[in-house]
Amino acid sequence: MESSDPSARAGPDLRRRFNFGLAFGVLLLAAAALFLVTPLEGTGASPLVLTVQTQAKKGLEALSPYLFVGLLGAVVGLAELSKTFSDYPREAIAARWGQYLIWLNAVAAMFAYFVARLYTPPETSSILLILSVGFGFPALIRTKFTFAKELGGKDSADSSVNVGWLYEQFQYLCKKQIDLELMSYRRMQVDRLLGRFATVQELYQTAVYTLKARATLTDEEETAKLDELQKAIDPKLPADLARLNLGLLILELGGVSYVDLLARSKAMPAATAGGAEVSVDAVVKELRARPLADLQALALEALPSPEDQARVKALCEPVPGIPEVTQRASVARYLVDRVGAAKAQELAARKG
Amino acid sequence: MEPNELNDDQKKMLAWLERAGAVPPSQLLAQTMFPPKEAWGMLTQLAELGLLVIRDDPDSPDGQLVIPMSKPSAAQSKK
Repeated sequence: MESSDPSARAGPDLRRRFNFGLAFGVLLLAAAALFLVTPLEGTGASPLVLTVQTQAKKGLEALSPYLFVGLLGAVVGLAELSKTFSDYPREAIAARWGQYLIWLNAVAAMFAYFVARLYTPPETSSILLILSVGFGFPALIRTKFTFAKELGGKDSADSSVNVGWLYEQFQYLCKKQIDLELMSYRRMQVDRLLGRFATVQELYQTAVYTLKARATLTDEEETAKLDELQKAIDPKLPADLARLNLGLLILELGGVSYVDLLARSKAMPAATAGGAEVSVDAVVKELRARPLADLQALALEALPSPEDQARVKALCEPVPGIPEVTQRASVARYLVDRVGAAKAQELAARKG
Repeated sequence: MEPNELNDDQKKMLAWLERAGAVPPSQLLAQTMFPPKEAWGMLTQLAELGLLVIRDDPDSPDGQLVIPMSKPSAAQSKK
C-alpha cells in the first residue's frame, strides 16, 4: 500500500533501498550455481561452454575459502554495525556507508586469510583457518607486519606495514558517515511527525502514551526517558525546540515503524471526513477572538440552566493573575463543551 | 510544602491533570468545577512545587499549556 504521506515519498527510504540489490544478488548467485551444478557433458553443449564450466568450477574451488572468509567478515561487520547503531540497526545496515563497511570487513577478512595462508603450514586445516580468520580477522588485521627490522635499532626504525591503521581509519570514516546519514534520516522522520502532530500538546500526549506503552524498558531506562520528557517541555525552551525534542523522543521510544503508523493514522480521519468535521480547538480559537462581554452574552443566552449561568459568570469575573485571553478561551471552551463545536459555531455566526 | 502535604483540592486538580495530560489553562478552568480564582492559585502553587509546568504554547487557544510532571515512581508502579 502506498503511503498517503507526501514526505514519506520524499528523500531516501533507508529501509527499502537495501532490498533491490539483495534480490539481484540472490538471482545472480542462483543462476551461477545452476550453471555450475548442471552436468553438461554428453548433452551436446558447445566445447566452449564445457571449458567455461570446468574452469569456473576450478576457480570456485580455489576461491571458496576466500568467499567463506569474506562472508564471515561481512557477518562480523553486520554485528559491529548493529552494536554501534543499536537504536537504528536496520537503517544503519541499509545506509550506503553501512554497506561500504560490510564490504570493507569482507575484503579485510579475505586479505587476512591470504596473509594467514602464507604464514601457516600447508597441512593446516582450511576449515579451522577459515573459522579462526573469519571471526578473528579484526585482531589479525591490526597486527603490525614488520618486513625489515633494523639490527640493534629502536622499533621506530623498522620497516613495517600497519594495515590495521588503514582499516581503522576507513572504519571510522564509514561510521561517521553512517551517523551523519542517520541524523538526516532521523530529522526526516521527526519532520513527518511534526507535520502530523503540530502542537506541543499533541506531541506531549503521544510521548507519554508511547513511554507508558513500552513494555521492555527497565526502570532505569524509563526514569531516564521521563527525565528527557520533562526537559523537552522546559518552559524556558521555545515551543519549536520543545516540539523537535518531543518528536525525537517519540522516534527514539517508538522507532521508525511507529512513526509511520502515527503519520498514517493521523492522516486517515482527515481524508475520510473530507475536512467537514468541526474541530473543537478551531472553534474555541474562533470564539476566543470575540470580546469577553460578547462571549459572556452568547454563553448566557445559549446555556439557560442556573448552574451554567453561574459558571459562565464566574469564568468572566476578573481575577488577578488570569490573563483576559485565558478568560475568553475558558468561556469559549465551556460553551463548546456544553453545546458542541458545530452548534457553538452556528450560534456565534448567528450573533454576528 | 512537600507534595505529600497537598490539600484535597490540589490533589484533585493534580489527578485531573494526570488524566487529561497537557491542557491549556482555559480548558482546566472550563472543565473543572473549582472557582477560577482558586484554580489559578492552585496552578501557581503546584507549578512552584514542580508538580506541573506552565509553558508558552502558540498553538494553545490561550497561548499557554499546563503539563503535569509525571514522577518516575508513578511510572514504575505500573510494572
